[in-house]
Amino acid sequence: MDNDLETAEAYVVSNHLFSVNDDNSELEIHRYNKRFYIIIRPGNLEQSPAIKNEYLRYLNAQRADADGDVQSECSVDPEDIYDWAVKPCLSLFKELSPEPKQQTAKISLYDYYHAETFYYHLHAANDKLTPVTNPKGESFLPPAVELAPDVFHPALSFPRQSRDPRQSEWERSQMLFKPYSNGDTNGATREVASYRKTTESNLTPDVRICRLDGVVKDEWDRLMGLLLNYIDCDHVTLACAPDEETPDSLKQKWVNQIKETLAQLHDEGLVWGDAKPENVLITEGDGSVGDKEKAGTVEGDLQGPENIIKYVFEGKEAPYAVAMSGKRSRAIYEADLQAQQSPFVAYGTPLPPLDPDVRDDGSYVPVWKQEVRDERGLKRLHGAFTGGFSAGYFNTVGSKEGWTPSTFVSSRTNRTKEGPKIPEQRPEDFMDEEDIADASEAQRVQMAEGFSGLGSTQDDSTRRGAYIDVFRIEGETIGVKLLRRMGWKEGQGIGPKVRRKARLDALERPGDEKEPTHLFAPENTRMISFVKKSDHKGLGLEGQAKLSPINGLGSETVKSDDDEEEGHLDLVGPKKGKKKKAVRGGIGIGILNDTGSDDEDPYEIGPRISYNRVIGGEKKKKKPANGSVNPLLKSKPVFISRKKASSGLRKCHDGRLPLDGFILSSSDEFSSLIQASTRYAAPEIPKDWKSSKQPKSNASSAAYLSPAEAAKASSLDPKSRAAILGEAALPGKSVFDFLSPAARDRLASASGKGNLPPALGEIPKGYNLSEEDRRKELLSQIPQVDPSTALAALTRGASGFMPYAEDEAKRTRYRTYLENQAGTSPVPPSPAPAMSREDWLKELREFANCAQIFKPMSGMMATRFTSSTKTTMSGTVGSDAGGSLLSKPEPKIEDPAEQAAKVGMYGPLTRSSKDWFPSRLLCKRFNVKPPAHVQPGATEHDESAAPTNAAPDLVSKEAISEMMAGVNWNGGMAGGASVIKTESRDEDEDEVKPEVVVVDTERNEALEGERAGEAVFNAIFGDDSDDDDDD
Amino acid sequence: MAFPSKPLTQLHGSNGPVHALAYSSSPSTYILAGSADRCIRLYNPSRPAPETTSNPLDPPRATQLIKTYTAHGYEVLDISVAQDNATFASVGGDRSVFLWDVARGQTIRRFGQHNHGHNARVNSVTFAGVGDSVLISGSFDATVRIWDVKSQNSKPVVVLDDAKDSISCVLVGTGWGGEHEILTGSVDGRVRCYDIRMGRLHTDVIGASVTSLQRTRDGKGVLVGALDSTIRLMDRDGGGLLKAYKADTWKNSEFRLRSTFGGNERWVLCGNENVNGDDGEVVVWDTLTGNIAEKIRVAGSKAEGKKKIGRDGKEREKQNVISCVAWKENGRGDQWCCAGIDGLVTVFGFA
Repeated sequence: MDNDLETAEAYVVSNHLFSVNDDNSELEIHRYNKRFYIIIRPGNLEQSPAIKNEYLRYLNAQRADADGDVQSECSVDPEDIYDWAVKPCLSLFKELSPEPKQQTAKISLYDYYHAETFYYHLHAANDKLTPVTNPKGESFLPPAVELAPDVFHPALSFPRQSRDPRQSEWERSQMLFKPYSNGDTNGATREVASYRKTTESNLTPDVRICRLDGVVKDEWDRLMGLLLNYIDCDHVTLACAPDEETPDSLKQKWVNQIKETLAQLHDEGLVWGDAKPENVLITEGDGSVGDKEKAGTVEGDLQGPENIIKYVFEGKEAPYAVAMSGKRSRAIYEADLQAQQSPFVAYGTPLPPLDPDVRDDGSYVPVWKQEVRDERGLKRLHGAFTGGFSAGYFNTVGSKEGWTPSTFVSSRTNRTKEGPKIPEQRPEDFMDEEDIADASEAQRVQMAEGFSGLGSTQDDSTRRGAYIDVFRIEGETIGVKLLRRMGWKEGQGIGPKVRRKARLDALERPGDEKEPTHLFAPENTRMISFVKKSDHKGLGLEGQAKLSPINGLGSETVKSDDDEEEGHLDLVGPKKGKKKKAVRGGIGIGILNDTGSDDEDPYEIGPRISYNRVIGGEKKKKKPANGSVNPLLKSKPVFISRKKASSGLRKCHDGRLPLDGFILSSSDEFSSLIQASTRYAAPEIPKDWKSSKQPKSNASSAAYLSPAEAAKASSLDPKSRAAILGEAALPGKSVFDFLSPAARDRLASASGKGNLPPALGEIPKGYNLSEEDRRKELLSQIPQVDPSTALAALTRGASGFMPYAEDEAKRTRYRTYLENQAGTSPVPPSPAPAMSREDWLKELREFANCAQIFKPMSGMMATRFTSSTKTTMSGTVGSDAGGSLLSKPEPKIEDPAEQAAKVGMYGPLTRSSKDWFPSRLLCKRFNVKPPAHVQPGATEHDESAAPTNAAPDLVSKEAISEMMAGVNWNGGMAGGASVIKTESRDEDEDEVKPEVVVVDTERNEALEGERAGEAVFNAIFGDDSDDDDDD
Repeated sequence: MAFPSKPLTQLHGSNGPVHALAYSSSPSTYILAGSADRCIRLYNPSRPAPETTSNPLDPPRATQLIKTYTAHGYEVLDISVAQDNATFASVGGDRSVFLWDVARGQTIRRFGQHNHGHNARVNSVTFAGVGDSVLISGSFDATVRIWDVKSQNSKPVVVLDDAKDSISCVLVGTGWGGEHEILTGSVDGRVRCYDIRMGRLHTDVIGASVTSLQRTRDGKGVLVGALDSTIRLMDRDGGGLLKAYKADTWKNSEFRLRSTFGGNERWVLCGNENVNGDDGEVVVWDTLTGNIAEKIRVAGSKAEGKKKIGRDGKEREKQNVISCVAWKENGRGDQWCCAGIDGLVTVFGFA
C-alpha cells in the first residue's frame, strides 16, 4: 500500500462516501502524511445553481456506477468528481501537506490511520468553489470490523499492530493490505474463514494462490484488515491481459495454470468462489490465482474456468464485463442477498425470507419503489399522493386518460353468474385507526353534559370558575411545606408523637400487654367535610349507603388482591364514613373502639365489634376462629338501640373527647326532628272541658223508609196498580187456564202447593185449527231451498258426496227433503218418530244449509273434475250392491255430438257454434275490426279476466255466512224454545213469519231491464270508451 | 320426391325427454329443443357433428349446441319462435309464459307470474297477432290465456275458459283467414275455433282427447291428433272429416304425440308409441291416400338409463317414444327432426 502514495499523483482519493438519503458526499483524500476530508453539501452550493447541477450530475454518475447501472446513460465519468472537488483545494494541500524532504521516509500503517486530518466544506461563492474549514472538526476512527473471537485460528494470532512500525517483523517483505470498512462483518468473517482453510490445508507452497500473511487489529481487538502476500502483477489481470498479440501458447499456459490450480484447490476441498478473469493476476508471463473470496460451489468453480477460457481465446465480452470494477453489480448483490437470505445471521440456521420477492435486510430501496402500507397491508397512498411526475397519469383512476365516466352497465343479471367474486369493500378498508376509533366513538350514545342536572352550571365555564381558578393553589400549600419541614409526613396527624403498640395488621390486639410500645405519629384527623346535598332524598336519608357500603368489608374482600384499588378506596372512603357516622349518631361505635381510623366499618361485627364495651350491652365476645370470616356474615347489620348508643361517650370529630362539662350533641337535624316528635305528647284535655258546639239530634232520620219496606207495606195488588198506572188489562187468563189437568197435578206435586188454580185445558186461539190447516201451517214453516240447488245437492249425493253418513235415517230424511224441494217427489218431509216439531224444523233448516253447501262445486274446483258417466255408473252399481239407500241418478245423457263423433259422423252434427266476444284489444292486436256484437264500451280486462281470475272458492262466502247466521239463530231458538207458549202465540207467529220475497230466477231485473239511453252512458263513461286501448 | 329418411346428425345435450321441438322461423337454420331437464337448447344442425365418442357422458360439443337457455324451474313443454327470430316463447311447468331474448339468453318477460296467471302447468304456447304482438298459452287449468306482448300489463288480455279439460295445444293459422282464428285442442275431446273476426266460437267434437293441432297452409284443413290412435284431417269450414290416418302398428293412446305435415303437406308424420327398446319410430303417411309411406327408425341412445318402474310397480320396458316432430320451414323445407324420451334430437334429410 505504501507505493500508492509514492507512485501516484500528489494525492490519493482513498474513499468517496455518499449518502443514499441526501445528496451529501465526502471525499477522503490522503497526501503524504496528512488526510483531508472534503465535504460537499448541496445546501452550500445553492448560490450557484450551475455548480450545484454539475455536482449532482457527478454524484448521479457515481451512484449509477455504484449501483452497477450501465454507464452509457451517464455522460460523466464517475471519477470526474474527484478532480472537480479537489481542484479548488490543491493549493491548500500544498500548503498544509508539503512534500516531505526525504523521499524515503517510510509511512506506516499507523501513520496512515492516524494521520493529521483536515476537514473542508465546499461552498459555492461567486460561481467558484471554495473550501471552507470547519473549525470544529470531526473525530476520525479508523474503520475496523469486530469479529467473533472463534473466527481466528490460533495459527492466525498475529501480534497486534504495533504503534511503532519499526518493530514489525514483516517490514522487509511486500504485502497487500486489504482494509475493511466499518460494518463489513460478513465479508470479513467469510474471507478470514476461507484464508484460514487455505492455511490449514496441505496445499503445497507452489500453488498459485494468494495467501494470508497476517491480520491487522486495532487497540480494541477489532479487525482492521488483512495482510496478504503481495503478487506483483503491475495491475495486470486476466481481464486485461489477452489481446491480439498474445500468442496462443501463452493463453494455453494461463488456462492450464488456472485449471491446475483449481484442481489442487478442489483436491483439498477448497472452492474458488469467484472465478472470473478479474480475479486472475498475471505476473510476468505467468498466471496466479488471487482468489479473494472462497465461497461458492464446485460446479460454479468448474463453470468459471470455462468462461475464462472462452474469454481468453475469444476475447468475448463475457457476461461479467459489467463487473469490471471488481465490485459486485447491483443485481448480483441483490441475488446474493436473496441467496444468503439473512445476511446478519452468524449463528444457527438463518430463517428463510418471509417473502421471496421482498427483501427485509434493510437495504436501500429507491424512493419510487417504496410503498406505504398500513398494518393490514393496504396501500395507503393512491394516485397523486404516491408522488412523482407520473402522479395523475398512470396512477389515476382506471386508465392513463384518468377518470373516464363509463356507461352504466347493470349488474343485476350478472349477479348470480359464476366468476371471480369482487371482494366486497367495506368502509373499514378505507379507514385508518383514527377513523375507526372515531366511528366507534360516534356509535356510543351519551347524554349531553348539562342534561343530567338541569339548571346546573357545570358546563358554563364563565360562571363556574372565573375567579376560583385565580385563587386556586397549585401544588402544595405553604402549610404543607412547613409541616413537611418539621418532619410531618403525608397521612400522619399533627401533634406530638403518641406511644402505643405497633399495629402491624391494622388490628389492635387487646390482650398482648407485653408487646413493646413505640412512639408513633398521632392519627390523622380528618377535615370536616360538608357534603352538598345533590339528591332528592329526605334530609338525612342515606338509603344507598346501607345497601352497599363503599368501604365495607364486602367490597374489601372483593378487591383485596388489588392494593392500589384499596388505597384509592381509602382515600375516598373517609368522607362518606364520617358523614354517615354523623347522621346515624354513632350507631354501633363505642368510645373504646372508635380509633378514628379511616377503614372502620360501622357494620363490622368482626373482631373489633367483639371489642365493643357498650354500657349495658351484653354482647357475646365471640371471636371468629380466624380472619377469614364469611364476609356476608360480617356485613350483616346489627341493630343497637339509639339510646344505648347515644348514652355513651363519644369523641368530637377531631377524635378528642369533648371539653369537660360538655356533652357531645347527639342531634343533627334529622334526629332532633325525630326526638321532637316523640318529646311532645298531645295536650291532655281537661276533664271538665265542654265543647261549646252541641251535636245535632238524629230525630229526623226516623221518617226514612226503604222502598222495599214501603212496598211491603203497600196493600195494592198488581191489578189495582195497573189501574192506577192506567195500564191495559191483561187477558183474564192465567197459565193454568191452558194447562191440562195432568200437567197441573205435576206442577202441584213439584211445587208442593195444593192451592193452585184448576187447570182448564183450553186451547189457545192460534192452535185451534183443523188437521188440514195445521199441516199447511207446518209445511209453510219448512225452509225453502232453490229447486236447482236441491237437485244439484241430490246429484252430488248420488256421486257419493252426501252428509250424515253416520246416521242413515237422517240421511234418508235429508234425501226426502231434497227431493221434495227439488220437486221430483211430492212427498213432503215428515218428522222422525218421537221428534218434536221444533226439533224437526230445526233439522230441516239444517238440511237447507247442507243443501246450500253441498251443491256442486263451482269455479276452479269444478274444472278439476270432469263428470264421467262410466265412473258414475259403476259407483251407483257398487252402492246398490252394498244396499245403499242412494237413489240411482238419472243416467247422463250423452252428448249427441259425442255420439256422432264416436261413429265418425263428423260434420254439422259435431259442430256447434256460439257467439264469442273477443276484446277490443285482442281485435286490435290481430288487426281485425271488432265484431259488431262486441260492445264498444266493454273493457277487456275487467270484463273477461275478473270473473275467472277471482280465486274461486270451494264454498261460496254467502253460503258460509248464511250458515253462520243459521247457527246463531238455531242457538237462539234452542235457548228459548222451551219457553211456554202463551196466548200471544198468533201475534208472534205473524211477526216471525218472514215476508216471502218471490224471486224469479229466470229473470234478472237488473240486467234485462230497459237499457238506459246512450247519452246517459256517454255522460258517465264517456272518457273510458276512448282510452281503453292505451294500455 | 322421396322422403328424406337419412339421419343426418344427432343433437346431444338433453338430460331428459325432449317435449318440444321447434325450427327457427325462416330460414329455419336452428333447432330449439325444450327438455324435461328445464333447459331449452339451441342447435345448429348444419354444423359438423361431433366425432362419435365412446363415452356418452361426454359434454356436448360446442359445434352444434349453440346456447342453453336456463330459467325454467320445471320441464319445458312447448316452444314458439317469433317471426323475426329475435325472441321465442316457452312454457312448461312454471305456470307462466317465458319470452326470451335469443341473443342474450335471458327472459324478457314472464307472463303470468302474478295472480293473473295460469293455475297449472302450461301445455302449449304460440305467437299470434300482427307482428307477433300476442302470445296465446293453453294450460292444464282448462283455460287459454292471451297475453299482450306489447304492453306491460301483467293481466292476460283474454281468458278463454270454455274448455272443460286441460288444453293440450293452441294454434293460430297462417294465411286465408287462418291468422284470425285461434284453435285450441283440449283433453275434453274438442277442438275449439275462436274466430276473432266474426266473434264466433265453433266447437268441433273429436271424441278422444286432442293432443296435436296442425293447419294446412291454405287454412282449410286441420290436422288433429287424438288419443284414439287416429290422426284426423278435419275440414275447417264444415267440421267434416277429410281423412283419417291410422295404422295397425301405430298407437297413440297415452302420450302427447305431436304430428305434423311434411314436404309441402305431402306427408303426415307422427311418432309411434308402439315401440320397444332403444330405438324409436316415426310413422309417415301419405296425406292424400292415408297409407303408410314410411316407417323411420330413429336410433336411440344406447346408454343404460335408470330402471323405469311403471305404475303397476313392475319394471317398465325401455321405450323410446318419439313425442315431437318438426319440419323445417314450417313444412316446406327438406329437413325434419324428431325427439323423444331419450332426449336425442335426430335430424333427417336427403342423403
